[in-house]
Amino acid sequence: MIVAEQKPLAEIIEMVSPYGKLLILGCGTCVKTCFAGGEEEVAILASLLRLAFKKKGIDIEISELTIERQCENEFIQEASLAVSRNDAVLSLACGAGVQDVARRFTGKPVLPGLNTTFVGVMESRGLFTEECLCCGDCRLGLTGGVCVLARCAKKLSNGPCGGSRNGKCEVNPDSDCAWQLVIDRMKNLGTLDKLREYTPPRDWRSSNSGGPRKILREDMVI
Amino acid sequence: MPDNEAKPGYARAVTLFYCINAVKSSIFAKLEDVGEFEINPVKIPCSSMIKETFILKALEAGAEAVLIITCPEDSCQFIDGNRRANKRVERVRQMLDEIGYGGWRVSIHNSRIENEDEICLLFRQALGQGENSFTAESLLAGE
Amino acid sequence: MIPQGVSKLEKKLESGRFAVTAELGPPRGADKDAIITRASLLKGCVDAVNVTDNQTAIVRMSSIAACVHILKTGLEPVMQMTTRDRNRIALQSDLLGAYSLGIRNILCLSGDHQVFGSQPDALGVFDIDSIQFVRSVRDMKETGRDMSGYELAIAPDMFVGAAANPFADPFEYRIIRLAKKIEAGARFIQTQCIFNTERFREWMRLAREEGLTEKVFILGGITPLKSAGMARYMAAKVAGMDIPEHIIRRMEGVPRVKAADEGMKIALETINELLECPGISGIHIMAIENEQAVGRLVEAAGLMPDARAGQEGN
Repeated sequence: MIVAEQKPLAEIIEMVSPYGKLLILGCGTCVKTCFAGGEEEVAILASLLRLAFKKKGIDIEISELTIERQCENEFIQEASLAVSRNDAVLSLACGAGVQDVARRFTGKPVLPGLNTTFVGVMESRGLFTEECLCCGDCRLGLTGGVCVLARCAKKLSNGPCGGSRNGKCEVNPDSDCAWQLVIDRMKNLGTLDKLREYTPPRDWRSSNSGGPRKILREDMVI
Repeated sequence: MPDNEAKPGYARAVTLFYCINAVKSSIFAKLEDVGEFEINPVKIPCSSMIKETFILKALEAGAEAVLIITCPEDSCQFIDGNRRANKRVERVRQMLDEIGYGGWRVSIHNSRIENEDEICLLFRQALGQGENSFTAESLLAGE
Repeated sequence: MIPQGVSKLEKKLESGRFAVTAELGPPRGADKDAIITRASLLKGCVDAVNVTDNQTAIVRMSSIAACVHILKTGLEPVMQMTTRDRNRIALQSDLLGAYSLGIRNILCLSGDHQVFGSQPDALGVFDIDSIQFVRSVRDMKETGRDMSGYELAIAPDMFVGAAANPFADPFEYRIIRLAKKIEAGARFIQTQCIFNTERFREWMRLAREEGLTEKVFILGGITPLKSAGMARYMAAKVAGMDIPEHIIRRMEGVPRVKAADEGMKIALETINELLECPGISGIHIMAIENEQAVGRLVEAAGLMPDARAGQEGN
């Protein structure tokens, strides 16, 4: 899923302060799962903003709405009425959702309430870890299902650097060394010798380095 | 001025969330007669059911302070319900501090309560903290 | 015009003689005299000087420029180059430039991660890794083409090396990684500082078993400790460093004023072990901000070029 976290409240307050009527728009898919932008977080943020502006003696009218997904027009349309009634939208979606909502409502300021952080998993309750860089050229088959691009701090393709110690990464001792995970797994699978093979440099054009990417499914176009 | 500040001559509005296993049922009725506070009591089957939004809504509705009473640390019937409650309260306090609304308004008490006086004492302590923090703020502001 | 000169380090190692290299960090400023003064301390006692490339991710004079200053003093540089700060376009371009300036040795590294440096907010490039870099330098020499396949008017003919850390985990993969570096084209290997000689000997045994010592020149890393504090700091804070407890206790066991002497003694003992170790072709001294120690250490080890020439009868 796409993992995000809420921006600092001070930043949000400053961003929304020019507007008298604000819609906080939640997204019920990825960011709900990572406790950043679902109904619950919309409600908490709405309360906090009301209290914050009340304390300052400023009138602000805050409404709340959470739609299934902010990255699909079909769902975004459900927000049309609520958006039209407000001066601005504070979107608690990932960066894609914020942009899709902004594109749909051209005359309305759409502000980001979250920092979109990574594509990852909930490793244990409350702990989210990055697992994928969306490089566009998946090589997980070569490294035992552990992504060394996303999970090695130096993006090494041909084995661990000299800073791997007791299974941990030198850059952050709280993080596992991705290559240690690869080696452990390939040892289990009896395929450690595969790691002797040379992995050539990546073609970064498949990644964001080649500019914004597009996928066109001709069969889906009417 | 926020409408949940103390007004002379009025009982101070506060909200109490309590786990039914942590507060003796005989005092429920007596809470209404406490003159010092206008207590809005909310009973919950377990403190784990307390959510950040409940606390914030109580403040929005005009409570000066919110108190949560849970069972003692290791005696929650749902094992760690009260630990969850503690963590949520801590989070709300942090967020309230961040927006300058005063995290002190929310407090949590992790042991059984035998009579209404104890509850009043806890509210008095919480609000006292707030008054101290106002003094500190005023001093810092050079007032 | 074809650039003149070949790597003297390569010739020396090829001839089977024991080689000594030392590390020198360029200054944090544009002062060329600083590097010339420090390099002069190494003159006459080492075969080549490794010039670090923004070591520990701290901004310093570029490795390539510092190498040129060193060349002018008559010393031979080994240019270190990391993939941390440059993409493949910049790496190849600097390689062409370095060769045109007379630099003949290169050590290809991934580099210390930027979070350890003076600018942890910088972007780490890591377009290619150190093994891919070694291979591209080798391929350039063998095919006369750059990574894009473009035929170069003059292709750099570098003596290419790589680093190895026998002390990092996972141990069983360390030899595979060494083999990969050699397979990619590394002709010499400079190792991490050796303090845990037991583990180093085991690593060398495995390297010999795989036949790797026949294919590559291994120069063992030596660092003379200056104090017990330095030993403790390196053990705890420097990534990939393995300093056994008994070494730290030895440093702590002598009076403070004698600590540097004890550090030299430990370094000498390690050098003597390496001289006995089959498959070792030389040593690489990393005397951090302590170039004066290099000459004394080389002298004490009986490895001054003249002495070595005498021993070998030429």
